Amino acid sequence: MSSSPSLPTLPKTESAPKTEPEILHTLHHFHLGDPSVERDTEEISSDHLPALLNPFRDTSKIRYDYPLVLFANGGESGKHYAQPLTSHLSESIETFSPGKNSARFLKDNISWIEREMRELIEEHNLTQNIEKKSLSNGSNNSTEPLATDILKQAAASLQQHLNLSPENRETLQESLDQLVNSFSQEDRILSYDRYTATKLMIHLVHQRSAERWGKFEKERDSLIRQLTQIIEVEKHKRGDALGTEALEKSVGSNASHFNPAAFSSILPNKSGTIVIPPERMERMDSALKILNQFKRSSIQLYFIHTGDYSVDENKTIKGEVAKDPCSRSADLFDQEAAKLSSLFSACRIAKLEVSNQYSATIHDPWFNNFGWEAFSEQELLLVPAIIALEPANRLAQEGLSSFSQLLGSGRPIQIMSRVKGHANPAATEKSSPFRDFRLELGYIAMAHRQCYVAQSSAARYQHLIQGFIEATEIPRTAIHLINTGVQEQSTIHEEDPHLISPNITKSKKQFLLDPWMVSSAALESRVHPFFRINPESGDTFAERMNFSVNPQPDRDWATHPFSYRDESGDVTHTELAFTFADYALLVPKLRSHFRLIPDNFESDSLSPVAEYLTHNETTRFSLIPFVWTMNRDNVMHRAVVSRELILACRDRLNYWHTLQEIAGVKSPHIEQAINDTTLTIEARKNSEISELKTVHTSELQELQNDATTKVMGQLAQVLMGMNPAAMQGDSTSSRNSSIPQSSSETESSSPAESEESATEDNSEQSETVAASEPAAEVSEDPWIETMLCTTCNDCTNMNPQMFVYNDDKQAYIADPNAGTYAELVEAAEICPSRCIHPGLPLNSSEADLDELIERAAPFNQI
Amino acid sequence: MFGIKADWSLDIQERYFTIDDYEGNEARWCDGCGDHAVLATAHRILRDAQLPPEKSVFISGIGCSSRMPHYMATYGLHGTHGRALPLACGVKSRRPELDVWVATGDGDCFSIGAGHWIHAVRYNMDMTILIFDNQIYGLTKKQTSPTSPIDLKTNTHPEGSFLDALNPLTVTLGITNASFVAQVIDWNPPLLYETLKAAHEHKGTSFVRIIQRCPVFVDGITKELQNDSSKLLLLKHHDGIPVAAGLERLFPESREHDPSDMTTALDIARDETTKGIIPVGLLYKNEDIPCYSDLSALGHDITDEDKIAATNKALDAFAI
Repeated sequence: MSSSPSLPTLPKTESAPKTEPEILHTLHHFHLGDPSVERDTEEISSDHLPALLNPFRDTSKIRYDYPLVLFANGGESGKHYAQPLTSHLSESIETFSPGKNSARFLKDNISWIEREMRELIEEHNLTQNIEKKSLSNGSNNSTEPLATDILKQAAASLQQHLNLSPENRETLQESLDQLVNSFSQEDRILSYDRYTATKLMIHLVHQRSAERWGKFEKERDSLIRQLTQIIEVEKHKRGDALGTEALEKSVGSNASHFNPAAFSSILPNKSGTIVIPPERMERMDSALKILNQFKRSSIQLYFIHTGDYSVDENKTIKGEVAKDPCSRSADLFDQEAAKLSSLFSACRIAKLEVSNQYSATIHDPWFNNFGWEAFSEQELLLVPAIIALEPANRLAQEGLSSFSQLLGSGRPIQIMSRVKGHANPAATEKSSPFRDFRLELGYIAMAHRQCYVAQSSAARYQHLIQGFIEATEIPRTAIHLINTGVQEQSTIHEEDPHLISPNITKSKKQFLLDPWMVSSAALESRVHPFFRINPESGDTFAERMNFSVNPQPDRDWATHPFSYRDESGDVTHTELAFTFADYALLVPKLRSHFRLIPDNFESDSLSPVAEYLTHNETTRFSLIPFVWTMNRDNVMHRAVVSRELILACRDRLNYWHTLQEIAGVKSPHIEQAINDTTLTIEARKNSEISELKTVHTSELQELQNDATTKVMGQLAQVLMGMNPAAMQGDSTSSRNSSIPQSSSETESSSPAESEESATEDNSEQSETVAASEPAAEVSEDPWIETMLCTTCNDCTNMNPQMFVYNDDKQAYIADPNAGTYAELVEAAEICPSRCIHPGLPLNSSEADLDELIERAAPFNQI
Repeated sequence: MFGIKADWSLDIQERYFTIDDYEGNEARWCDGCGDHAVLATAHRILRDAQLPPEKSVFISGIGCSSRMPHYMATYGLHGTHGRALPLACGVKSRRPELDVWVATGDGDCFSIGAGHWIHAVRYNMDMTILIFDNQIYGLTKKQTSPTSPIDLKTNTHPEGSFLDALNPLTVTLGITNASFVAQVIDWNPPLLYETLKAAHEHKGTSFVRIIQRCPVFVDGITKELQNDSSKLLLLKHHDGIPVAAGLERLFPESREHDPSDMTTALDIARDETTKGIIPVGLLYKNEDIPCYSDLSALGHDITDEDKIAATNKALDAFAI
């Protein structure tokens, strides 16, 4: 009954295919960038999408990774930090009611709930944004809604929508409540927007910093305890403990009945012979003082940015606007580290003192110059996290030097930068994005060798979070290059029908493709390939580089199957590549690089971009590259691509090849090596084969000769009347010659014994077989094989409390104590489908039990 | 592709139906009657397909079975004796968009309605025929029906019936255009469900003979089968009725049978009369047979104005 989405079609053309050279000429000239032909060509409207992306125009009809559930206590409980709402919902239901038929009302309507939740979240974010704007405090990010709030609202509207019978309503409510309980009170829901990655980073740093400080506090407490003990002991030794005051103190409230001075005077005033030198005592005292007095600053996270993002500041997070976030972060880090250096040195001194390993000559100068460079990995990670949010343009231009300095310094600061998919960060806003070769910030960061580099996007939240976790785990500078896919809203009038999809009835009119989709397309088209480089993993790229998530990483472009209907209605299956040119269709600024090819125009010169790029300069001269596009009416068109964009495709492909080589996915070096080795092996193998062949032929020849003489000899003997039996005997004795060897191993047991043991073995085996054979299983509890119930009402009429129908109107035993054993047995007897198994009586005081058990017996056998 | 998994579509059903939405009046069949099983299965099939109740019609003739429309909350028609099939064909002819079910019995279909049976199968209109075959006239208190076994003592044959039982399977398979012929027992609900589901999904006339218990008048016939299921022959095939894991143990006898093989289907059907081996499963299925309803429904959407205009035009031919 399901209706599959209709296949895309080729446009119907009235006239026969045209092959006029004028059209070819115009297209070619457009491709080469001749402005004079532009008026003869048709621009593409904004509803044209790459053909492969067409089914996903409206993301409200797609299950994808957003919204995400942010778990409040993810790290501690060993769960993830975040999970897509879609999978969290279905997994939760499966945990509390597994199987196809349980919690059926909820399972049948889970998509409805998900859609409702998404709408509620969107509404929530919208009203928040309006509120923030009206407050005009410049804050442009919002608090994420609580998951339980949203789910409860969605659950209520589902109940209203379904309007079930009171009984069913209750059943559904039970499962809904269970679903609500699968979220914790503080879990929040994060939708996809420009700031998703930043919010995820804050969420993660927050949780991890709490975990780390928890551990450290424990360690500090134990050091304080140990130091105090040493000092106490020392005081005892010095006799302070036997002084008047100490005695008075130790007696407590009854000290007035007691003369401490007199008591002190008769006690010996010194014990022990070795006394701690005063410098050491002083050192311990001051360390203890620092440890005791230290109060952790409540701020766990500093967020330095140029002013385009303002964090929700609270006790633990502090935002700061700076002109040069990189250098400001470095300063801030030094300040924060300095604050902690006395604490950490106190800790270390305490540790040394506890084990009495402090040596003034070695350690004094060390602790005098104790700065962040001397911090251990653990200590570095206790410094409040500092995130520098840098615009990509700034990093590539005026900020390049401080960026480079910070990367080289090794300060554990997280630099985050949002990079656009198509643009060159080194180019100015106004100039063409393709004017220069593109500056790759990731590649620049890689050149600093000892910093963590991640190129990712929130569109693949797992990859992103993995990068954040790795980067915040190691004491190194990290750079996260993130593509968001968010584009400036185009200036289309509000009343216009939605150009991307006329079906979108979103409250917020968004005239461009969903940013999550755009960002996904950036990954798919090699515009923003994902990688992570972790210098902690080793010294070679093979150990450092993680190249996961990229689709079809060993190919130039990712290709996907595609089907459409041609003019005559026949279905054609083909493969389409998703190239940078396809991605460029999603960027309004770049639409001028495309022109529609007339639908009825056919020519051998037209070549799809991916294929076009494989041609060399001479063969591609006569060709015109094009991409398949689709408009919102599900009709396919072709668009010619400008030469400038083709050059950009080559540039993208070049960076992709570089990454492939670094990742070892496709390396010309390796290919060459494989080639060489294969050739060597082939050659060696061939020579070996020919050698063996000659040996083989000669041996064969020899054997043939031998055999002929033997056979002839035997034949002659037989013919001469010799006894053939004797010959046979000969051959058997020679065959048996190998037997004594094998029997010698079992010499110890005589043949009779071994026979006996064999029979024993057999009987044992047969016993175990008998034991493992399922003895007629008898369940002690009464039960119904519900699947076989034919809904005849016999049992439910007899005792409607004990026998109850499920959602499928098939009986089960709701409460075995709601009736007598006699009833159970009788029900089993009258049940026409014999699916009631009465088990054994639960109540031993019932009358005539022996007889009932006997009657029940045949129904307890399965 | 693009980070979207294979099950990417977020399908939303605006209306949701529970079993309640398909339940009509309380069923008044005797306790223990096999009809309850068929009714509950029909409810489940409609619920699982999430078909709007107003889009289904249950049509019946006369007999115990024919009370079914009363117990469905769909549209329904309790017709005259033996006329369930022509009524159903009429409905399907003019309302091809409706989901048509027929509830009929061994008396209603094989006796008084036998003529209609042959032509309805030949028309192959898209509908599901449920034959509640309890091998007795139950509503009128135990008279011999066409499928009553020989020697059965009934109120019309107190000394035992004289004739061998009619074999509805060989008859149906012999009718031109038969496109779906299955047989099932009512006391195996999972198999009943799968059989009726396959019948419902088949485009064309699906003929399902349900061997059904009448615990009041002929308890012995089906009791015997229930006690000794070796008389049943389970038909298995990947194109046939899916048999759930664990169900096969209830059928000691089974065989592979390709439902596109008419010759073997006829042999299997004949064995019921000659050898007493009762097949259970899909005997025959052919999806390529045209449906008469596709033809008869042509023009059903013509407006009244167009009809009047066409009539006037026709009458104008006789203008004086």
